[in-house]
Amino acid sequence: MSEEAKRPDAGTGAPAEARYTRRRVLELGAAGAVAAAALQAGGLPAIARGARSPQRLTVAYPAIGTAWHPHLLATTNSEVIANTYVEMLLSTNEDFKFVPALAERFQVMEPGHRWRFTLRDGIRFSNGQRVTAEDVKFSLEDYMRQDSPHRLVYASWFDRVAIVNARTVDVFASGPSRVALPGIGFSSRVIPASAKDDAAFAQRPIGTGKYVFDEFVPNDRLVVTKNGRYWGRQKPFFDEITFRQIPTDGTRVAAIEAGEVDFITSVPVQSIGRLRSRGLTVRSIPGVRTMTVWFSGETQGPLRDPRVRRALNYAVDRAGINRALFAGTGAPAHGPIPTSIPLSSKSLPRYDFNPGRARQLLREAGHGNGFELEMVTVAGRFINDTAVAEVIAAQLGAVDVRVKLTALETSTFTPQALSGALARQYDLILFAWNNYYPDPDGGLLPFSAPGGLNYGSYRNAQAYSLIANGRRPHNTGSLRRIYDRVQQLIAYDDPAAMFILTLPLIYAHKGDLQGMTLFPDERINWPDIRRA
Amino acid sequence: MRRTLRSVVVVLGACLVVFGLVRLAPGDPTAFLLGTSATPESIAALRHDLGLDQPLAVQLGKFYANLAEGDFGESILYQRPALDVVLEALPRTLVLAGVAFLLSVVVAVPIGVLAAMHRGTWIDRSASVVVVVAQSVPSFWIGILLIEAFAVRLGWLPTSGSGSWKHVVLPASTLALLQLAVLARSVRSGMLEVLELDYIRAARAKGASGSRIAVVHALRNALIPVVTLLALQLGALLAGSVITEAVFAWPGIGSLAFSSVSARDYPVVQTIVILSAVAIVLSNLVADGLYGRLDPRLRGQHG
Repeated sequence: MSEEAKRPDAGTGAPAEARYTRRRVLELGAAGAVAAAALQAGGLPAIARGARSPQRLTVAYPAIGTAWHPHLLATTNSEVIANTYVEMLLSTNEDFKFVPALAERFQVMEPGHRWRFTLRDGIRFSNGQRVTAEDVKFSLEDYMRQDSPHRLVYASWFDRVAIVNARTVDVFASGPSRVALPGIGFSSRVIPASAKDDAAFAQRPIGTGKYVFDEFVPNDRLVVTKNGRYWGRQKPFFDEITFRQIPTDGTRVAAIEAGEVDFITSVPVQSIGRLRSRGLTVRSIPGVRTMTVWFSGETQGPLRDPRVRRALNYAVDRAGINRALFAGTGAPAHGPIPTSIPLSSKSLPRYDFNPGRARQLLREAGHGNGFELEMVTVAGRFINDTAVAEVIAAQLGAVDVRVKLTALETSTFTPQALSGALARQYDLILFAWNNYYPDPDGGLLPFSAPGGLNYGSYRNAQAYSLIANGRRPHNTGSLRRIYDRVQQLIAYDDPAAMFILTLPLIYAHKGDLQGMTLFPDERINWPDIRRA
Repeated sequence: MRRTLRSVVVVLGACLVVFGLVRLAPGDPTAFLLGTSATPESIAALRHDLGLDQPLAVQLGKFYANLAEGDFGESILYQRPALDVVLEALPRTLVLAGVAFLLSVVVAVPIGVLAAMHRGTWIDRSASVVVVVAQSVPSFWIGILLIEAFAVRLGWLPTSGSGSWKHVVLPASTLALLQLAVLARSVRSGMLEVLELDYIRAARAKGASGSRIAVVHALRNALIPVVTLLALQLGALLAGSVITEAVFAWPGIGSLAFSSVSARDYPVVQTIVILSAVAIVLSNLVADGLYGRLDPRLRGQHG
């Protein structure tokens, strides 16, 4: 235990100036030495003259977003950016364990049905207004009503919010649901209840974050500035963060090479070496999106036989695709749940590249002479999506499965996928599914019920029932058994898809940035980043 | 008067075409707004909110009725009036297109004149090479090359974005290049035609110098068809701005058109096309007027 922590007044808010600990004396000595050195060098440092030049961080995304009302954020990027000026009741750490945010604690009142959130004391919005249970109630209920991508999954689990006292609310799920908590945790961006009658709020949203929404120029930039009234102890280092939109990969890379921006996201794989050679830091982590090729459940052809679907899985060289198209930054996938998500199965059979085994299975299924399939891919939505589709088509061709490939842009692809039209028209459908919330249920949504998110029209009553069962409260051992079973079913026994690769998140930044945490779900802790 | 009426009909027709085209294009704004996890119920609800579930004829009727009141609809992406969104981006594109236009005229006219005056020589051939390269190389590639040279290597100019005159230089140069090619060719052929005429021969016989003949006598007449061409090039400039603005992350109409088309933000796409149609029709009217002023023989012919 440190000397400071042993003292009875530690952490009680006693004025720091009154504490002459050994550390403080050392700090004062160091400050004195710096001041003396500065005077010798011919002047005081700017900070000593009270004129610290503003610290600015500039970040470039391919697309930043278009609407900034915290309950109308339509893309992952805009959600990550909005987290600088608005906060949630709960957050998660890199391992997807819940950690307190605006709520200092939460209790399970009735498992899977009612949770109690207690707000920290003294939290204020950036306009100075105190955050109350009323604001939390309004925020959750408003979010569930609005047209937001997350609302759609969570809305059916959310029931209502009851105010217990000025700092406490009870949140009710519509039925006993284990997964409602992750849903609510991620859908609880708290805004003032007064936003309800404020038509201008959407153009200038207010929250409790370390930063304040300052300026938005469509297709150009969003600027946030330091929140002088931030409630927490840890104040941000940067006075201002500018999020720029630079859609063209080459230009975004050039912008960091030229030193115009400090950080870029979505680094093109082919630029990694070049950026490193210029002394920039390039980091990649596996995300929570799995590049997946769904088998159509509507097909009447050879795909009805699970052996054929396994054969196709063996015919695809995941490691080769990762090496050639992703410079090894992705992670070959063998099941529907990315390994960073809790309860991702560790006992699944691996589909290592084995064309001999693929041919053998095809012969056993009576298709030794091959056959034809039609495949559709979304185009330009994910890194190298069409390239991956082309490689898969070629590799299936090598085991005599001839693939005719169609590419559709997102706005065309998505409605047809959701309506089931793609499953009716094509045998194979390529898309990178996002594990929407830190729970295996997020990755299993497409296999949980007919219609809608079930892009491939996968029909397996056992899988539906296991997934539904997994949503109810269980102890950890039972949960693992349920999810191991359903992943084995979907990936191997009755394969729903070819799970190809967990897509990487690749970032580049200047070497002097510190304190950043990169989360698999694309979040970055912007307010905590410092310059060395 | 008749021409003005015709212009109104053209703009109304353009409105109809754009209304039909954006809806004929496969895809739906709900795909972008609701993402990949949308349920059929939520899609239906949003389509209802946006009025997309009504018959096309009803949507068209409302579209024209709203237009008559100056209401271009609410942007689906930006959640505010589409006209406001477009008008905010417009000045930036006007700056870009204006500078590109001036640049192209300043460079193309001398190239065209020199090439014509030295027909068949190395000067003419060099000019042809410049013109062919400018016309055939894709603008996104030129853009990336300029960024690499002037922003990354030399560090003279910013790679992208907006905010100062320095930000304008590279995108405007890229945009100017395509237009430059068309203009230089047109000036050259115009000059060649004029240089054959009797009054030039008379000027030469009177002992006028080559440069005086070119600038004072020939160029003024050679530029008359170029004026029309310039007006017609406005459309090409607007189209070119879509790619150029994307490459240089320039937040103008081109970037807006690109993002709005991708997300099927019908009201914004419609507003951009309608305003562009108005601009092109107006520029053609102006060109016709100028044509008459510059060439007295044509006065009254187009009334």
